[in-house]
Amino acid sequence: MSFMGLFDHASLPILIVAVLAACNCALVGSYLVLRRMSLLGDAISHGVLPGLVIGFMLAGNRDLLPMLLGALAAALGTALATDFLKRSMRIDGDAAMGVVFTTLFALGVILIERYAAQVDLDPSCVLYGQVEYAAIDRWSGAIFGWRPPRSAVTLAIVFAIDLGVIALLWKEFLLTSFDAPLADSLGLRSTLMHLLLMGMTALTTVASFEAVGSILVVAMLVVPGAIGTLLSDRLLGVILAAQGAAILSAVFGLWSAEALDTSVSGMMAVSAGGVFAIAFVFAPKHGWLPHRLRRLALSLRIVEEDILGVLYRKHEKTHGTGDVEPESGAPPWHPAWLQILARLRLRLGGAVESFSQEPALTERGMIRGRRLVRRHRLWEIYLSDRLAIPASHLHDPAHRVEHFLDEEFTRRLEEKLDRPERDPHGREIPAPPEGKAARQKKRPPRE
Amino acid sequence: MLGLEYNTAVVLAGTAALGLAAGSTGSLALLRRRALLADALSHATLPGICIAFMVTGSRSFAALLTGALITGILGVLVVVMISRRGKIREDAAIGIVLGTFFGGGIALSGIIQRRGADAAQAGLDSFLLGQTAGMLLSDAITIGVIALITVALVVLLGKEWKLICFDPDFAGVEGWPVRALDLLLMLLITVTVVIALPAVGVVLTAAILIIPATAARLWVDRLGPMLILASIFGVLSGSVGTVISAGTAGLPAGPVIVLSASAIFVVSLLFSPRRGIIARARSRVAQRRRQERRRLLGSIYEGIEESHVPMIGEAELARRRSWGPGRMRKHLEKASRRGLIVWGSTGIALTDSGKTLAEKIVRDERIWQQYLLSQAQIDRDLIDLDAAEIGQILPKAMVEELEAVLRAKGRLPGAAAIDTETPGGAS
Repeated sequence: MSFMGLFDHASLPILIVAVLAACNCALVGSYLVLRRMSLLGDAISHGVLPGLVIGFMLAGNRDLLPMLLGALAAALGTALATDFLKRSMRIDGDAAMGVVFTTLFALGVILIERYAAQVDLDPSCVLYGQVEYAAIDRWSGAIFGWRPPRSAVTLAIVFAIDLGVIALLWKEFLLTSFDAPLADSLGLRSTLMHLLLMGMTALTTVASFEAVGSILVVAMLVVPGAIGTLLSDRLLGVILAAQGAAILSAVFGLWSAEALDTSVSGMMAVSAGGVFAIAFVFAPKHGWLPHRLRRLALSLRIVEEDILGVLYRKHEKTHGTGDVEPESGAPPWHPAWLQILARLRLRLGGAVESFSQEPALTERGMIRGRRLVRRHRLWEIYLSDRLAIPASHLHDPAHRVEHFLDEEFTRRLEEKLDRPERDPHGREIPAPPEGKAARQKKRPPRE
Repeated sequence: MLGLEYNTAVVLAGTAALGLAAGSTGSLALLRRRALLADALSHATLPGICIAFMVTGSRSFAALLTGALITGILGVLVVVMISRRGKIREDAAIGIVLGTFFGGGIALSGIIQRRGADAAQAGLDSFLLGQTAGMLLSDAITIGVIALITVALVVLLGKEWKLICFDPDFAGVEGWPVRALDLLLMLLITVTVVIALPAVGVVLTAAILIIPATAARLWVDRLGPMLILASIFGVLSGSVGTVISAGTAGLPAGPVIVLSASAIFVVSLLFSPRRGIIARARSRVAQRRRQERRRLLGSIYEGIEESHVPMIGEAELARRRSWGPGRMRKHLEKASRRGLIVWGSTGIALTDSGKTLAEKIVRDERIWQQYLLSQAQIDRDLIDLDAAEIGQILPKAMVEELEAVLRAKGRLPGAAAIDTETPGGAS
């Protein structure tokens, strides 16, 4: 089907329910991921099942309230039982959680199979979601003459509640999420916030299970939040990015499910996984590719500087101002392709005269090379003077650090060392390229 | 009739062998803290099962399990890859893989279903929540044989895995191939999960690894016994679950097997002799009684010491211990039943054995107080005087030195001189 077909009469209700469910889960899920409670979402989404079923059995219909109360009780039970096993019985946290939620889930499945199947609670609806029914199952009321899907109304209410609680307790959630002990010492009751968050998770899980199913809720709880943490380092940024990812997953999931004629909730989870994969590779700051590129850029800069250092020292030797032989420069261990790339960049950047093995330095290359050698020798002095490192051991550390000292730092280093003229090997410290006035006596190596 | 029973017996043997394998590999998974990774793994097998079905077009047991194995391993690799970069923590990575892979599986099974492969679809459905009733004889045998190979591997390499479970750094320093062993263990867990799928189902397979092992951990502290016990629990839950589910129509085997394991877990939780809830409650009560007896005797002794009369009135004792009259009466009754005090209408006196005990209690306490006053740089809460003799805590020479100080002050119980110097407020 065409993409715009998502907004036609038949599909719009499904789209609304899918987006609302995804956004709901993503909102609470952002906090779960940030608080390292991702698997609690998993546990609660499994654990609420018996509560849902019991609530449903007692009420005898699909009214939200009894199911919600049952599910909240079960969620609280999951959390408290896990906590009890962990704290009092000293069972490893993961195992405690695993025991509790699988047990509850098994109980829920048996309850469904034995008792609920005869009263219109379809197990596959609970487990895997039936968002497709959204178009048929409409709310009894109407907004401007349009009857929204029943579950959309529920989801909208729950979304409003979640949003309201988070907006109202923004600071409290922020602090308890990142520094629970500080929050406690300020009287913020981090345990209470923890319980509140679990309650919201349960509420959201129950409201969303019709759309995405109780197992796939975990995908919508965890994946958008994880995408958010890849894209932003700020809480608001994480939440907004998670919302964006949730909407994207819902829209694309629905579209691809209709195209492939298969389960919407399944494709929503897969789409979320796809969005995550893209974020994992391309996220500007934490993504894999930018990270590799940054590392490549750094390697390239180091190789370039090493080449310039070698050329500068060669120049120093032939135009001999110093009476001491300059130290050897670039080590041979840079991979050949990096060296070629670096030489190419030096040539294009106008730092050397030609793309040959040992080109002559231009004025610009000379300045960069001089800066590098200056940093190198100043650092050697620092190591020798302040840390009493023997002269034979100065070169290697200096060779590594020279790439990471900026101009300001170098200037202060020089002042701290009382503007030395020679390094511990007796080699001359080259003048800073711009600061000629400060050291007029010193003649720059080339005029 | 006979054939059917024979069939059931073989399926039963298969699930029992499965329980054996799940118990032993589950123990290792638990100790290596891979419990919930097993959950992600089992959910990640679903797309593999579906793809295998779509490719081969048949419900061939071997093909489906091979598919499950492939995506299961893929899922684990993705978890490792995501969490190794550091930004996404392992728990989130597990959630991501679990949700996404399972979603993929549901979508694929939807595609299969809508292609109209209904009969076979029923076969796939049984992989979600497990089905032993429809299991073929050859399938049960396959499961059983692989399970037994798994157990044999655990027995063979148990010692090495024990080392990497408890101290992987040390194992590395000692020159063990930690990564290879870890990988092999992960593979073993994967294989166990995969052969558990037909009986327990994708959604709950992790439980059959986690629950028996966790229950066994409540009873024992050593790996060997834990492996054996977990295997027994696994066999029990596997076979009981199979029998119940086979005897009840419409009951998927997975949840029943899991609930059988949970029942064993609950029993362990209650009755384990050292870590069980009942045993712990009893020992807590006993400890509190001992502590209260110590306080009672200590107060009586100090009252007698101050008044120089070998007897203390109830009112005076009540002043020293802020206990209500009912509680005081209870404690006094208990102590007199133990023959530690004589409780008459005029007051309370210590018997000989009570005096000896009270002297020791007060002496230890004062030495401890003196130690804390003069040389303590440790947190006194770290030491539980109820549980230990003073001689076990402090070196002998120091005890003698402290005793000398107390004797000089006339505060050493059992020593002749009794002084009226104000006692400290130790409890």
